[in-house]
Amino acid sequence: MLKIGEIRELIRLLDETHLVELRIETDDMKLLLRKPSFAGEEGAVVTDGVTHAKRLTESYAASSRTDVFPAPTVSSAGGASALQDVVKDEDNAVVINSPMVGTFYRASAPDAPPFVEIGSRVTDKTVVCIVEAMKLMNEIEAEVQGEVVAILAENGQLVEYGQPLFKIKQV
Amino acid sequence: MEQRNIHPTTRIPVRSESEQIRDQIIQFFLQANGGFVSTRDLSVRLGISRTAVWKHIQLLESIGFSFTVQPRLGHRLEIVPNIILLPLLERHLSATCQLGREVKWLSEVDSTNAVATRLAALGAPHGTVVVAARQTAGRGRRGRTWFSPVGGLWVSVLLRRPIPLQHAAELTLLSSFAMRRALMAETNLHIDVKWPNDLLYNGKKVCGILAEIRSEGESLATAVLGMGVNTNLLATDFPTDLLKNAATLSTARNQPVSHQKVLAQVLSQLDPWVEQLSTGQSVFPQIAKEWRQSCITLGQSVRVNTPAGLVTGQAIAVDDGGILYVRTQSGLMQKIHTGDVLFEEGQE
Repeated sequence: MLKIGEIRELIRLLDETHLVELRIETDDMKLLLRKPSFAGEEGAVVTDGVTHAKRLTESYAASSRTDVFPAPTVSSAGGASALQDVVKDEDNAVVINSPMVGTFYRASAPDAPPFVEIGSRVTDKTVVCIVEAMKLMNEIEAEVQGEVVAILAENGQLVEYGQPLFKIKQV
Repeated sequence: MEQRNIHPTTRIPVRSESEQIRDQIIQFFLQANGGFVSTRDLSVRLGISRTAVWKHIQLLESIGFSFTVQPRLGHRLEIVPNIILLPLLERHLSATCQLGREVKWLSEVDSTNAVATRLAALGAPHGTVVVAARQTAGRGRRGRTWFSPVGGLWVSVLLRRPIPLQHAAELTLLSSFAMRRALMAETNLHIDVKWPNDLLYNGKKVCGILAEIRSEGESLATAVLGMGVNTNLLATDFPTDLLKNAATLSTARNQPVSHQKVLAQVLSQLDPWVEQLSTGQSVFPQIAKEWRQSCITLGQSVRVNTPAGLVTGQAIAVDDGGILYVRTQSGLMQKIHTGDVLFEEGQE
């Protein structure tokens, strides 16, 4: 059976290659490491009988360079509401979550260029998208200074409250 | 220069110094209640030269005011134009209404929503109203233009209240509902609501609403409520492609609609609702019964253009959050947050 350190090493190696999947099977275990093949599909780590390792690899994957993000931690308590739509992760990136239910738009009009693309530099006041509910257009600002590193929702898609929309690496 | 007309929370005044003097002059004439006002009197009370008073009166004449002049007596106000200036609007507002206590009037502008957004960034107070006689790039939903020549009511209202975002979408429903009540009271015409917030007369669109908001955390920071009403346009003003689905109220009624009265009623109605929303309470359920009765979408077979595609079916219900439920031919119930209910011709 593989040790946790060895699994971690395997993930690191996989991350440096163009391989999207690595499967190892031995008599006492099965390990599957998979990178997302396209935006939106979650990377998966499947193990049998090594549950603690699974947890570890999942949290590792979440902070690696793959486009995998932990579920937003939205507290239901009344306090600290300003923090609820910006959740920091370990590599100094923030995830902008939708503050309301509505339709997600990446541009001001169907034929207009998107507000931001991956790699766009933003300030805290840069509008990154619009979320619409019943002709109320909520222009969402980045709220941090940095660079857009991931776009997590599709143009025209209905987004839920708390759903991740963008990941911005702070600079 | 008197300070009393400058709103205390305004960092940069919404109206220029000259516009404030103009509005004070109008106020003096309104207070004179059809009596004469001498230019010497105005000059003393405003602390400006008599030449400056004359210039202001000429400016007022250029935007539609009309005076009779009598030697030794002065000027008497005869005609007040159908435009929105602070003293003309304020006289129709309810005493407690906090909306409409600052007014920027423009003869021509790209978009009143754009101006209101710029003024918001400069610190304009809650309730600031921006009105234009004509918009050159009036905004509709998703980058569409809103046809807005001289004769319509093109207005944006700035709100600064910490309304929870979960209730913010009610703002557009409530604005259109307040507008419906005001238009019906002013014109005696029957107006319908088309989900979510278009107003129709005889099946044709007479009013559209578009709100643009910025949020802070989970609350509203600023909202710009844009309302466009085809009040006193002529049918001949409309391009033919719009004429199929748009109407103008003055034609239906044969006399002009008072912009001042309609807007004052809308603001006076909306003001307590905005305050209630900002305490975290929902308002729409209180008016939902009347709203549903006025909504022609309900019970109809509809085609709704949504970002996810065309939804065809029976409009079954609108819930207390304003969401439309459509039962499709396969029997599936679809919840619609965003979309355009298409007119019969299939055009928005």
